[in-house]
Amino acid sequence: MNQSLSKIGGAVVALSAIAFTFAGIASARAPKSGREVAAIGQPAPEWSLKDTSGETQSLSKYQGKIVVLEWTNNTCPFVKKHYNSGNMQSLQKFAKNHGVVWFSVVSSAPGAQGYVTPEQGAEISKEQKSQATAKLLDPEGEVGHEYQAKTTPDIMIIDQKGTLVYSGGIDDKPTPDVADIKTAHNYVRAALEEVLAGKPVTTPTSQPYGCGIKYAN
Amino acid sequence: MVVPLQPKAGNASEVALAIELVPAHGWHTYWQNPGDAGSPTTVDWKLPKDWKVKSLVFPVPDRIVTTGGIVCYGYDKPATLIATLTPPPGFKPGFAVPIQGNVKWLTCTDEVCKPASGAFQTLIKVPAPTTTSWPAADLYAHPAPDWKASASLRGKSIDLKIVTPGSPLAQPGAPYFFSSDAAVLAHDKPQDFSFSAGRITAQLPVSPYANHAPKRLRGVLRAPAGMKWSNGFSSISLDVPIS
Repeated sequence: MNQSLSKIGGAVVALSAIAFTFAGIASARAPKSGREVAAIGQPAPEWSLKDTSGETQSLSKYQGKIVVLEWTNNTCPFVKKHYNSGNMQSLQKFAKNHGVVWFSVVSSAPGAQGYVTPEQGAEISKEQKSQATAKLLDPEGEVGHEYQAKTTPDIMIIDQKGTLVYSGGIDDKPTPDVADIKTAHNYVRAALEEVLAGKPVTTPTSQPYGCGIKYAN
Repeated sequence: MVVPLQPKAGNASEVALAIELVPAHGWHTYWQNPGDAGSPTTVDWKLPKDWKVKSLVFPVPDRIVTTGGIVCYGYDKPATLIATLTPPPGFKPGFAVPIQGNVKWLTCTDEVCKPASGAFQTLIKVPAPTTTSWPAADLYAHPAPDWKASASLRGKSIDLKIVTPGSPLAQPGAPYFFSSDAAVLAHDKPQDFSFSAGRITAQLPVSPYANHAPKRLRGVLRAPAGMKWSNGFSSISLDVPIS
């Protein structure tokens, strides 16, 4: 001690007598008033978005099905890691073979990295040989914020009863390196296998990793 | 840029390397826990037989908040990581050793992310015959041996209590605790601190991505902007079991 204390002299005495309370500098993004926010083990909130073919998709349309939401941004190095290696497509194929509905979601704002028009979005899915059911466009970021999606890729699984059963990273190797895929534990595949077998999900959440989603606000 | 640092007295056989990352204007790199997005800077080492990496120390990060409210921990200014390498037992100073490494980092703006890497290769005489001085100590976190910290989990928050000799701060302000582990604290929720004579208490929000009750609270407690803790440092490193 105590250069800093000596500078302020008598104020130290005052400090010792009074306890101060501060709110931290961080402020959580507040969801729009009255709106639900997705939480593990809770009913997944309803959404409705247009896909790249112009069709309106919604969660309620797929009642009784397992639904995967995968946030994506085709130019993000972490997304490239999983698409250039074929890892994401093989996961999508596994889902498709088991009757799971898979939506890739683009929440990038117009002008930001990863934003696509419906035509561009469809073209990218084709180039990637994506096996997803459809790609949803969320330029306002409403569904992204509702589900508190943070990164690309950030993946969520909704079970047959409409409960959010997984939210987090695709696996446990949070790097942009393709070489890490073969030694990674894929949380999403493990969770899907458990949901399909009617078992509880062992790891229902993990820290999502990747590029921060380029939201409009 | 990688440069050997002046050997520290008493540790003449250790090699300390400064790894400086200088982001372009508007870009940032990441801390060891990057927060809710991003990726930490890492080094793949190629060292002579039985040399070991003792530590890779990051400077204290800043909170970087994107337009969409995503909170990252990193640097939007130059940051120097310090790697300390130790020789095998019985190593005799006076020899030159080849040190190779590949530094990998991610750099992002609010809109774009790019991975990058840089390899270095150097022959270092031990002790290093350099006068390059260490970066300013206050850029890094320091242990506070005379602070007694304890932590307990209460619902969705971790209560942190620290008993300090005398008042921890000269005047009120908002400190910040950076968890060095992912999925322990929520990076984007408020942290509540209060102070009294000889005591800091905080309620730190638990991460929504925590699968299990966290066992340890590890990280850096940074003093309010422009201030120092009563022990003279801006940032204190903490490693506390959570009961």
